[in-house]
Amino acid sequence: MSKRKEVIQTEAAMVIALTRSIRRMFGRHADHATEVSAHGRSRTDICVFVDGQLIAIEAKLSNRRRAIGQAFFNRYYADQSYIAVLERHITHGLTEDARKWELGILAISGKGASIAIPAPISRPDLDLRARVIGSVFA
Amino acid sequence: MPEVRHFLAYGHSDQATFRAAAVQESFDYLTVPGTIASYYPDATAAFVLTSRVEYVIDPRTPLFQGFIGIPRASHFTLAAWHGDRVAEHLGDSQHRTSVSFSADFYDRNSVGLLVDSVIQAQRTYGQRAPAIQQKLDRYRRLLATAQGRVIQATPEERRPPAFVIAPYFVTDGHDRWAEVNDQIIERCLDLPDARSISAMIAVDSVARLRQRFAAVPGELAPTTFFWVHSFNERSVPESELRSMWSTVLDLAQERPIVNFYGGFFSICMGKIGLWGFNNGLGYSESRDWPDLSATGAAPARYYMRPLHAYVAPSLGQFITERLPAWACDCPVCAGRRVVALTYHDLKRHFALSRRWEIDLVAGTTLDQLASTLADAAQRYEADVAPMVPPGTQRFDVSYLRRWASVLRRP
Repeated sequence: MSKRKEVIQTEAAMVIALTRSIRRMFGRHADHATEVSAHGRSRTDICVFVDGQLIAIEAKLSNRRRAIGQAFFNRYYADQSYIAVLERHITHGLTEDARKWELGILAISGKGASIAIPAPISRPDLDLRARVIGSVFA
Repeated sequence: MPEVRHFLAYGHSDQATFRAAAVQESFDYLTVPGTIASYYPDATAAFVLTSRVEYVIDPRTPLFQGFIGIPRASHFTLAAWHGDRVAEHLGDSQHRTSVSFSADFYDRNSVGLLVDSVIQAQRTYGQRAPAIQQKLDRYRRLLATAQGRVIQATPEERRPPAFVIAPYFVTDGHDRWAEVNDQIIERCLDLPDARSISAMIAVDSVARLRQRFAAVPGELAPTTFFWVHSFNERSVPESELRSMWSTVLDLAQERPIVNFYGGFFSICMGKIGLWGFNNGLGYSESRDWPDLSATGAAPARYYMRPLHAYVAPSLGQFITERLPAWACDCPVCAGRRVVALTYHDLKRHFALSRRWEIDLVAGTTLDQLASTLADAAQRYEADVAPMVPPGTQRFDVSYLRRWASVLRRP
């Protein structure tokens, strides 16, 4: 019997697809949390904590420019910051933007999520980073 | 001319911030919203009375003006401060239903009860100290711990508010609410020691201020408060700023006046005689009506001193990375990144920033202030705005130029 591919139509479905693929993308010890409050009023869709590294993921079905902005600011507390978009939405322009703002890209399809472009290492504020890890993963 | 007095409004989640000695020294009067004073009666009284600061209670009467969809719990406790008629009309807190307070509801009888009750609640506020002795002891200990010093009980813990504010309703100057406000003032004049009661002028536009101020008799307290609903110093057009400036210039010659919702522009108006201004700790530099009840705890925002405005902490961090000279050197921020500041830090920083602004204005000419504001706008637009990451909400600094224009040629 062939598996039917899931159709991702909402950001909630994107987050579900991402969480299912966390360990495949970041390692079997990866822990994660959703809707993480880090600074101001913003909430990061998913935070992953693996091998002492804090990774932020911002998922967007539309308004991918906004994802870039949010993900950029996530670099203030995370060691790596990703935007997650549908695979078919990854364009040359989006890739260039991600490189410019020092972000990685996760591609989501009906088969799950994968790392399209690895995120560079950022230089987060250590106090804020520790606070987020302490409040979410301690 | 003495500097403008700062009234700083208190929210129930702000207690820790207000206990810091540096914060206490940053303002002149603590403003206690009637909603909080009535909803947390003992805790608020204990906090306020042990705080050692002068205070004023805002009766927030417009919460009983017009339609209320579903009354909040604080509506019911505040209603008890507004007399039996208001409390009865609001109904049973266990069976909340929508209710409307029309101007016709406030007949002479209702107004009499309203005024007597609101004034009595304020005048006797300090007298509740003996009944809440345990709470006073506890709050005094908390203050002592926060400030690292011994604090003894004193008769000051029975002090009344520095100002007693008459109940008030928002009016356009021609509606029935203007008549109700007139009746409120008449009733105040009948009370003993009417000279200790301050009027609050709440109007829908700057243009109505002169008319309503003229209705305040000299037999009331000279200090008069005012609120122009929806007057947001950062978003109103320059013509409105000019109108406010000239109105304050005129009215301030007659009596001490306090803008109940204001920010940096109000501090600047201190130079033309504005006696005081009020705002919350990180919020409420303007207030809309009838959205008075639709407020809550202040969001986590960073007060960017050169912009005299709040920004998201992440944007504040971004700005200071582009313009390091704009990094704040206050005791809260020094050596730290903006994004690392906690909610409590952001509030303490705001309190210190407001003090810094008052001192800045006191020691600077209007022309110099105007140049500084215009320069900040130019620098933001040249060095920050083009660099902001995509999708970030554009921060409009045009208000700085409007302020500068008024300060240069009022």
